[in-house]
Amino acid sequence: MLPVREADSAEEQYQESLALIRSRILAFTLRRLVPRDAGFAEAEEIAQTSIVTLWEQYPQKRELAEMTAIAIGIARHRIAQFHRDRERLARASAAAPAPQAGADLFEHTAARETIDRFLRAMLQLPPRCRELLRLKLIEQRDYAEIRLRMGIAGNIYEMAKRCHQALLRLGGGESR
Amino acid sequence: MSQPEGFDRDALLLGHTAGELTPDQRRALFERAAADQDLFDELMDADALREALADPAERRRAAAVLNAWERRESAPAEPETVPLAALDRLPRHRRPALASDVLRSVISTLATTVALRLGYALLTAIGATFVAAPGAMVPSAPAVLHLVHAAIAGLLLAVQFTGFLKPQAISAREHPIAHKCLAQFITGWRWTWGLWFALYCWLWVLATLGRNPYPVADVLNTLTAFPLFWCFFVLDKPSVPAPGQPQRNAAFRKAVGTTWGIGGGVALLAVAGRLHLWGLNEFGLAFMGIYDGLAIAFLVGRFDSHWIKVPRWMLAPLYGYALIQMIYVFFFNLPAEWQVYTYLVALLFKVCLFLVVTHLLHAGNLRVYLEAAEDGKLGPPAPPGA
Repeated sequence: MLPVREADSAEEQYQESLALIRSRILAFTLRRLVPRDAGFAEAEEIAQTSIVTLWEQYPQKRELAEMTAIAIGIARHRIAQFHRDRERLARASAAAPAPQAGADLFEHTAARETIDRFLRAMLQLPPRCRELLRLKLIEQRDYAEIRLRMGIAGNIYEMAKRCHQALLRLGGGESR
Repeated sequence: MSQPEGFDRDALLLGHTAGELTPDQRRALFERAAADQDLFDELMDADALREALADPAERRRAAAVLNAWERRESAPAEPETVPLAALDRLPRHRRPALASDVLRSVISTLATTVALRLGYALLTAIGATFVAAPGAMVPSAPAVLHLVHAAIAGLLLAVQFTGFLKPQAISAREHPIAHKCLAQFITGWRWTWGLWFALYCWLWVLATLGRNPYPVADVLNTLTAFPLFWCFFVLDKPSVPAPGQPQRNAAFRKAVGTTWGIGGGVALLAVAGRLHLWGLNEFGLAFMGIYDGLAIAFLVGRFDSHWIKVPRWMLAPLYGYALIQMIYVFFFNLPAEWQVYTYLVALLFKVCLFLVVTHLLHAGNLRVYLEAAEDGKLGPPAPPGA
């Protein structure tokens, strides 16, 4: 965990926050993208463009937590864009036939891809975990109702945390 | 940068995915993520999932995928959810079914009467060697007790028609079958209290006039068991037809008809025993006590389901109420003060039953159970290859 130094001025602190977030995004892209899909330059490009977007479009956001939240969203979309571009390039290289009418159905949106990735992860979880996450995240039930539905007498909150952690571990290996 | 005490990263990540964080928690999570690469990575994933799940259409799709997966893994206990409007368009199979139901009731009434009469002959033959001949009847419970009982039953019945402790509704659009089942259950439950109210009013009026309330009271007493059986069968069997499955509730109708028939036989035997017809005496009331007790026991037993989730201790007085029905046959031979005590205990148990069922309806336990039944989540998993 990197320590955060007290900045002498607001501007210095802002610059430090930008640099810190950039380093986080870069580490993430290096860890997740470079081994399979991307080169170092591409990983750096994603981190840099994310930070530039944050700096250009959200100059009024100066609090670290807010900046991090926005940067995460920007970086995710950059990564998704990177994957889309890469797929288009692969298709073009393979001289794939042009999409037919209705082929858009198979063009998954980023949200759909994310859902599918996590659904695959959910199917690997034990049935009770799967049920709990389904009720909590998809049906958006409160814990009291989930306890009732599943007949859980113990600490349902601890169970939900463990299941969610497992879901992120299984489904989060490929952030796109 | 300060970090809150007791920072629970997993809890905050879960809260973020579920969209349940307060602004302070969210700030703490993102601040910590900026300083912790592992947490940052996990937050990237959690944020992606949260954003994807924010789309209701995607949530519905995800739910459909998981439901399909679950169905593949378990037996399809119930049919697909269908709109209520579709249920209303069902062909009416009521008329032919009614005739066979009535016939079934009549046959089971006759069979029950004959079987119990034979059983009674056997029991009296053995019991005569131990029990003194009946006849020494003690005065029954004071009229004021009947009045109290009737007043409480009336009050608890009236409460059910007010907005107080209102049952949690089931969406007719999302769970049309469960919606109808709940209505059936509530109807049966109200009939139970209506009949109890009628029984104790009758007892009070006749006791006040100094007249014998029996055997009409025995018939009313038997009738009170019927809606309890009805409620049990609503929870136990598919009680609503579905599109393409008009006979889906056949087992329910069969069970109701048979139970009604047995109740008829039991009432007939009780009346005959009370009037000393067909060579019977008050021992015929034993079957009535068993019938009433079983009605309560079956219903309470269903409350034992983990889906209904009644605390076990709450069930104790309810099973006690079932047991106390069994001593009905001996009630009139008890000393007067014992009758009063027994009567009061029965009243107490009855109120307990009301409180538990009202809790189940009001807190939504029954809603959850019925919705789960419609979603096909109850019952054992299907055998491999099924």
